[in-house]
Amino acid sequence: MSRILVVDDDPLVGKALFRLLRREGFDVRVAPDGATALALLDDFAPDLVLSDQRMPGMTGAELLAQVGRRLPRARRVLLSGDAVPGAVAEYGGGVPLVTKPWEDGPLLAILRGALAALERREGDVS
Amino acid sequence: MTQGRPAAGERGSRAIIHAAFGVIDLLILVEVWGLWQRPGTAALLALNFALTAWVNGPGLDRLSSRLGVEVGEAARVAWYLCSILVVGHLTGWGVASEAYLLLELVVVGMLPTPSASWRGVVLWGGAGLVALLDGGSPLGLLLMGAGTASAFFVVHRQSRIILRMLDEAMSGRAELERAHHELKSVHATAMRQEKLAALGMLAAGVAHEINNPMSFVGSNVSALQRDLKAMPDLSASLREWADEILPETLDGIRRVNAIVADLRRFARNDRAEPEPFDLNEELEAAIRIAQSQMKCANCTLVRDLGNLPRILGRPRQISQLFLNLLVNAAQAIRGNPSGTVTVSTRAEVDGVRVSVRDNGIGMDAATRARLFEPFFTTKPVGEGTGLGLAVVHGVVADHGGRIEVESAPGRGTCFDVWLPREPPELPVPEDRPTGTWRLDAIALQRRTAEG
Repeated sequence: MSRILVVDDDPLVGKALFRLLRREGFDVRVAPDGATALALLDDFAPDLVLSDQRMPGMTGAELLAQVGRRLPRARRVLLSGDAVPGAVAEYGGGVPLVTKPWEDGPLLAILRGALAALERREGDVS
Repeated sequence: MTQGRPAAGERGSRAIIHAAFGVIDLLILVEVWGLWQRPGTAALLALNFALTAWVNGPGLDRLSSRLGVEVGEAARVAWYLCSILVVGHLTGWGVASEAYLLLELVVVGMLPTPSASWRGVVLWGGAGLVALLDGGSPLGLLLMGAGTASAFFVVHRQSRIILRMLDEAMSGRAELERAHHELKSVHATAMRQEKLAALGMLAAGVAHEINNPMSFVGSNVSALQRDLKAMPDLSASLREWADEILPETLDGIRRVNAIVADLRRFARNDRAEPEPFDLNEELEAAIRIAQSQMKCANCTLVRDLGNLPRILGRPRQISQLFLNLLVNAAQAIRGNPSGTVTVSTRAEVDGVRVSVRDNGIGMDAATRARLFEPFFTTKPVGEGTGLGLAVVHGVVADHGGRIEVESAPGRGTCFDVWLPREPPELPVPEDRPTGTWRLDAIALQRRTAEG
């Protein structure tokens, strides 16, 4: 069961993502900000971190950069209410960008795609 | 400036002239008193008094206004010359004729035009010459000449000075008025820009704040719908929720999202580096997208594309700009059996000019004034967000270009866009788009373009 760490300062957004991903069979944890998310990294060891961009304290991009250093195998996806609607762009460092409001189908497809790439790579290694 | 006699104090100076001539006429009568036996004396003097009064009065004014000041003044000098000859001859070129000539030169010199000097010289020289031939005393004539000439030039000079001062005052006033007008229009433009900027900021902030709640509302509702659909036996009322109410709700959510998306495009940051591009190509791309809008009966699109140099800018923004103009043009000619949209491009010395012209419904002055304001729309609710032309305005401004609009109700509209070959400096958006306002360029009216 893939582990996904969701980071969003809006608790209702976090809950919605939590429910959506849990239904799809993922092991999900939600953190309200970057610091909490970083504290969870060792313990939870997520396969994927899905983070909002604009949060108090640390932005999603800053958080994902640290995640990349501390947990290189984890896939990272950035979620933002600022970017171009409907666009899924590379947000530097190979991090896909999903815009808010997301649509469940496409969001899940992106997450599954990222996790499938991880499995393939780790499958090759082992 | 005034070409006739100075209007200020006109009536007063005319009264003085009439009085002065009257006094001298009396003087002449005294001088010739007792010489009535000379043939024609009385008749000539009477004729002289009458005609001189006419020339100094409104009679000559009528002639001047009909044939021009120059002709009128020439007639005045001609008559003055005749009159001085009559008076001089009858009074033996004494003090009366001297005073007469002096007064006449003053009247001629009052007119502050260069030709007045010539008329003064003709009157002065002519009178002097005839006086000499008619037996006037040379010494007397010399004195008279010096006196009258200096009086003439003093008067004439003063008139010229006054005229110049008047001219300067008037041109100063005109300059002031022009500057005032310019200032007003600059102020109006600044106000408009500021208003647009403030609205752009507002739009970006509102869009961002709406996105968070809309994202979980949409996600939750669609989850509910999926769950309900997956249940095998639903009661009739829950079935209605699953089949009708929730899909309708989701449609409403999608509509809100689409409006917010438009808002965000309006206030979006575009990170693209400026690149050289062919404006005609971008125009063609926009035409292809707008084609679906142009599919009304009998609409025609006329292309008049010139050879253009490549210009520097953000081609996607430019293409968006034209798409918005084309969509508006297409909507303006909708239902018009001879509706035509004409697109033309021209190379200019330092840039390119594009015009999009339609012969559709046109706009009144009130609409023209608010044209580029975000959310200002004349389209029915749900058809336009009022952001199309706001985006156009922003793209043109970002590229350092100009946009002009010509429109009249019932006669159609023409948008004329000028873009420089190289934009002065395209604004580079900051990381946080809220708080700055940036206009963007991707397909704005997706809903309209697709529907």
